[in-house]
Amino acid sequence: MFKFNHCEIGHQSVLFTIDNLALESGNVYALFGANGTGKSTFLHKLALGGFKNNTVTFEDNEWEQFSVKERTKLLTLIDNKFQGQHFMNTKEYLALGRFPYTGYLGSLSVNDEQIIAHYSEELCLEHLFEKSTATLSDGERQRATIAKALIQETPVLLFDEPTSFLDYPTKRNVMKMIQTIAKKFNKIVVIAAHDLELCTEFSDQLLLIDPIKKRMQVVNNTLAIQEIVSIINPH
Amino acid sequence: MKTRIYSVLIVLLIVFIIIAIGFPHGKDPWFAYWFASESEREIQFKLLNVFRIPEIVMAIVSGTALAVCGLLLQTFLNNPLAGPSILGLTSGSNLLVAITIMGGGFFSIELSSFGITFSAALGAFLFGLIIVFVAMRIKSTVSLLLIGLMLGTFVSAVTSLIITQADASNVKRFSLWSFGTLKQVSLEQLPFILIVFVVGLIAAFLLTKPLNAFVLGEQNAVLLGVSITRFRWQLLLVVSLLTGLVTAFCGPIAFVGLIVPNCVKLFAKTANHKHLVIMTAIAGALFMLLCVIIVRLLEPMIVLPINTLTSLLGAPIVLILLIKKVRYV
Repeated sequence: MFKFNHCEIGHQSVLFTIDNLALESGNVYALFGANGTGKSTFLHKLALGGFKNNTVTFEDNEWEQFSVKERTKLLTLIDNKFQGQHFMNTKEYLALGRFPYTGYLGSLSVNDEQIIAHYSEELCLEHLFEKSTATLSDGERQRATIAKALIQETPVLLFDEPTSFLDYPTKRNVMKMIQTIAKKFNKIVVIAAHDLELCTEFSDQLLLIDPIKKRMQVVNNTLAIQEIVSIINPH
Repeated sequence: MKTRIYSVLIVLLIVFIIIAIGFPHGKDPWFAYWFASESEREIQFKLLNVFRIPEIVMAIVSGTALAVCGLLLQTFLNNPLAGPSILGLTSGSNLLVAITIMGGGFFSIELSSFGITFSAALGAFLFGLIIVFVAMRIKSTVSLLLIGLMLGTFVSAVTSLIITQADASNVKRFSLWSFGTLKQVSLEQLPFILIVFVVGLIAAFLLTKPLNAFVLGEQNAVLLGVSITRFRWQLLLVVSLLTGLVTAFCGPIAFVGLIVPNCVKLFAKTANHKHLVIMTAIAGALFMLLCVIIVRLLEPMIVLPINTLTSLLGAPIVLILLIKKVRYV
């Protein structure tokens, strides 16, 4: 369980505060907010740290106490910035998910190989192993990114706009996949996105950033779209 | 696939070394040393020990070191056109060595190989620092190369300035050095060079894990747990040590660090730096040995400085790579 208590998000100035929030395993949380309200900042800060003491805890441990290395075993941030590298094939890309667990030279153990094989099978990526990451389709690349995050075996997955660049059917497939993964592997999933309807459909709770009061509101996914819009974009 | 590349590289390396050792000197037969008569033995022995072996060892050392430096810089800066010479690291060495040689002449100090290596490495390090800090602000591939170019131009201006103030013997010494040659090294200097070389190479190999993460870009590397600050210093130290070593003993050698890793990547089709570092190391040695053999072949007609040859071969290859890159960048 990820707990936030009077936590401030932002670098120099405070973008918004989280008064009280608990993220639970097996749930998908959709994070909505207008551009510039601090969605990405929030996700990056979770990954890289920098909170005040006693504001964020993970499984009752102070989040700031974890080193960057330890955090990479607890949390993965998945963005859509990776557009493929011509010389890197999909297998090598997936293998980087084991990065926090491998030794000084980064050699994969038998166990690592098994984990890679397991999740690749789960997401139907085996036939793409030898293909260059630069020649994957957008949908395939998104699947590979999710597989890499699963291979990292972290209890928390953060997605930064996972469905941009994708066509509507693929968007739905990806969201469905993320939801299934959260339930099946019991993960805490946070998705920052702009697709209100789609994300509301596939998430359990909504985290809305109110730009006027500069605070995060937690609401149920039964809230009407109009209401959501009026909170995140009150003008 | 990888085993095939490895075996081709190693077979070629052995063949090239044998050709380079046995290549006839003037009108002598091939492998003259082994077939020499009793009276000629001593001369041939000298030829082998004073000229051949140091030159071949230096070819391997310089090719390997520069190519590996090129690979490290290319991955770290996420820029396929990076290399120790094009980014101005070699210019940095150049400047500091010029100052050391002229200054040493001025104070009439005998320069040790350690002294020259240290100043060359320091020069590469200082200019590497400039490049790294600029790279933190400027993400454009081409701008960074322009900055390297500017550093080079600046240095050549400053060295010209130093040369006008220096006396003739030092100017000659510096000019000879700046042509780039593999022949200035003696057998006695080899142990020192080899030790520094091996240390640098092992250090480079230890950086393969973070390098693999860097293929995904700096931000993703951070998210995978790479400590950027530490990695940046480590990489800079390794690159400047290896570049400095080569530049100190062979003078500035251009293009090797740029073309060899690109050619290796083209064939190996992998982003795993454990393979890339080893393949680049062998391919770099191959490239310099090939240059040595070409220089020997052309010797009856024309004496080519090694730096001229690497540029003659390198510049067209860079152009080809640039044109080919359009397809997949």
